[in-house]
Amino acid sequence: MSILAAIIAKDVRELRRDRRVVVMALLVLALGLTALATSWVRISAHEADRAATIAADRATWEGQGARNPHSAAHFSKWAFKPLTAEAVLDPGIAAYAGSAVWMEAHNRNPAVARPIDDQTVILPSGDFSLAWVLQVLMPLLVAVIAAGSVARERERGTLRLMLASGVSPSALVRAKLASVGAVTLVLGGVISVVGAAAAAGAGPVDPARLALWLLAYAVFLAIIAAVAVAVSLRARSSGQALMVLAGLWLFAIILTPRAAVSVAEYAAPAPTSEQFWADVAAAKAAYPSPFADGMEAFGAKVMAQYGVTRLEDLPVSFGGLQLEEDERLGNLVFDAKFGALFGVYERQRQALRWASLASPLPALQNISMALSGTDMPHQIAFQQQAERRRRAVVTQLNTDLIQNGAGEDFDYLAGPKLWAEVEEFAFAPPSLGATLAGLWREALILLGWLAVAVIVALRSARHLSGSEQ
Amino acid sequence: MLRLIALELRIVLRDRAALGLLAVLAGALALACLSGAALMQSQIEGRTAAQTRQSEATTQFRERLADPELPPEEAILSPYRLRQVLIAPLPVLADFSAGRAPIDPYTTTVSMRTSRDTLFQRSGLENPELLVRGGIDLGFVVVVLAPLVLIGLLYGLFAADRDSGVARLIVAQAGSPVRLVAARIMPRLALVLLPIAGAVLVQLAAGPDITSRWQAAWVWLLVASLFLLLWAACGAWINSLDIGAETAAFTLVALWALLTLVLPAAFSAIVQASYPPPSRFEQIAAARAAEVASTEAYENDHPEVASNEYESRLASIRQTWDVAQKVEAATAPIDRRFAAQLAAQQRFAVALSWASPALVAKRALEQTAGTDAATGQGFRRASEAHLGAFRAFGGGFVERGAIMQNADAAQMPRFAWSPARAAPRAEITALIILTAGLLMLSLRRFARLQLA
Repeated sequence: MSILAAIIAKDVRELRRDRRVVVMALLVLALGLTALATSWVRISAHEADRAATIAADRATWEGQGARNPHSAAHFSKWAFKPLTAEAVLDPGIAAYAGSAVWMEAHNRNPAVARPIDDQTVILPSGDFSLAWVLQVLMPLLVAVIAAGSVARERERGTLRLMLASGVSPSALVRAKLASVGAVTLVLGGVISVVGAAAAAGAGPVDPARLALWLLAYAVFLAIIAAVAVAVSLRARSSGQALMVLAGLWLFAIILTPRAAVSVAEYAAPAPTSEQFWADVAAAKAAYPSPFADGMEAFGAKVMAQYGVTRLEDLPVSFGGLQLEEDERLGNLVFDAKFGALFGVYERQRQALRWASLASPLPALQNISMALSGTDMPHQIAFQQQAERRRRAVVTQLNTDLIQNGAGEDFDYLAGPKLWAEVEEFAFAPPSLGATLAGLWREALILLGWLAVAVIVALRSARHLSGSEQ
Repeated sequence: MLRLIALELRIVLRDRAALGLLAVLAGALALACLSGAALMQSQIEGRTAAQTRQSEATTQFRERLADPELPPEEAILSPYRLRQVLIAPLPVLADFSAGRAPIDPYTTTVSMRTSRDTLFQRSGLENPELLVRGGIDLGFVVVVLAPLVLIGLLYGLFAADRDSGVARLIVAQAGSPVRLVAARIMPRLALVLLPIAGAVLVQLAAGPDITSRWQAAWVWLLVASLFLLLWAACGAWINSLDIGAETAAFTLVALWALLTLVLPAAFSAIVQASYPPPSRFEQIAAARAAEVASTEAYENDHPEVASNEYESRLASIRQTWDVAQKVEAATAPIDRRFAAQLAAQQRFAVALSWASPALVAKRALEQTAGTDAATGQGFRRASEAHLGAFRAFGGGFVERGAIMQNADAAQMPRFAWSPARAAPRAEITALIILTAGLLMLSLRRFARLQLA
């Protein structure tokens, strides 16, 4: 057995014998499995609930009887966001984002039914999920495992002995990296593989997404392991190493993502809900409504278009045309206001990205949520698709009124045939290619962190040779 | 004793690791102050905008009622032109403990067309990507960050002397290390507490002038101090055990992780699994089915466009009002079930949280700040109750076919709700008992210390 292999075997044996580490590892594993189980139950319930509601809503919609198409457009339909099977791994923003959009005439409504509104417990540090266990608890466990990897050898005097027996400092560092890495891989690997299996059991998963997700966490934990070994190499005692690592963990894992939120809010403040809707109302009130001050001009334009001199002579429903024109003008307002709001979100995301320079966690979180289909771009894609569907439904209903409601306008009644023709909303999540296109900066940052962490750990070998020999 | 404390203070201030931890604490406090001030400002601005809209709506409605030339076919629609903006009072210490303030709605607009399920439909525009990561506030610093900083300063309180062999000397010379341990705890605790107290004063000076804010701030600071004293007592107790500094550090960090991260996460999972709220989707589907069932005949939602006749407009709004009542009646059982389940969930969450001092402190701080879950739910319940009264008021005119007059506006229900502000006595008592118990236990152990 080579000396390198002997050191690795010794370290693993010592860790296995350390009851504190074993208990903590088992606790983290148990928490990871609990998080998986709760996410699995939540997602299964959400999907079953969503399917039942869509079916019930379809039956209500098709059974609404004879009704004016515009009345039906107000009643309209709801769009419900599915939760992907990958959300078992990382629910991301799911608890804080609405998953139902009312697609009614005249209004672009925000997504509602945020789980957080019905959740009385807000945790002091992030939502409970497998991703949280891997992002928050695993680094702490790795810090505990790695803190004594070299520092304890120094305390016992075995470090000097190892170096005197011909092990080069760089070989020792490589051996320590390998032993901490192996234990981290086993612990993280067990949780992740069980997670991947649970995701596959929750529904259809994209193997490429899953593989990339696992790879991202492997890189993240490798960074943590390398930094932890580097600290242990430089610490006077294992106690000091543990406290320094706990401080670094506090800074990088707990503090930085939250500090980044404060910076993002400061860099790109979002309007208050009050302000946003007041602005929308003011912008809508500013255009000449075809039902009020713009009615005369619109009527003249329509009469000219159809070659008639009186509205009563129109071969189509003037009320229907008014509604469609009102929608067109309203949509311009919604495009401008929601576009600006999503622009603010994007600037906040950019500000958050800068925090990845202080900690690899924000970059990992973005990658993890994106590959799980639970990040903000997926949420915006849902809201945009729901809005496109809303416009299509309202236009379909208005068109029926325009074509068949001549002379009757709001007294015209449509029937079940029209309701059956209205298609159901189906969310098409962004493709893997589109998702990855938005993640290249995060991937580069993470790889940069890995390179720096490994270089720092290997360079610490010099420190070792200087102080111990 | 004072000289001993001064000496310990000098030792801490010479330790680069300790200075690093204190720098992290200072940076976090600065960020917490800025972020708290920004949240408070946004809460104030949101309420001011809502107040302005309420004033405009009131003025417009009064002008409408006072207009002698308003034709009856327009005047009969007055209940459906009425808008009221409901505003929750500003939380006294939102800039200290944000709690649910960034999430929960604090204003809403009611009209005759508003129903319970659409009451807060237009709140919640905050970026979920920021909400899920959470922000830094003073409450977070006290509950999560400061204990770990304190652990960093206290983990080798006496265990380090055991490792180096000095402990034996101390016991041999002084008999008991109680005074030494106390002299070591005090400056370290002060180094963590004083910056927090300073941040509290800064927030008080910079924040809005609200009645009872100072009083609430003192209660908040008392809870924060007790919680940190509890951690100091915990550090002393762990150090009184026969263990080395590394094990003490490990035990304290593991205990912190257990109480601050693991138990709250486990409780959250248990609470959600035990009391899952009924489906919001089901609520939506039920409301829609009820609406369709109530409108067998065509309901025109634009009475002013459909007809210029008084009678047909009155018939139209009567039908709308009738439909709204039927929808309300149909969805009421689901809403009640929802409210009951949420209340049960909250009771269970509170009961479980007693097992984690971090959750006890967090709840006490948020309760004092007026940003706890109960306050948010209180506003929702009060708004729903007001919506009922408001619609009954407007619906009365619709049912009677009466035209609303200027004098009737005085009879209109006004929204006046303020949260019950009780000091978190139970939480404070629990923290005092726990701290005193741990302190006595550790002092007794130190007093009886005998080193082999």
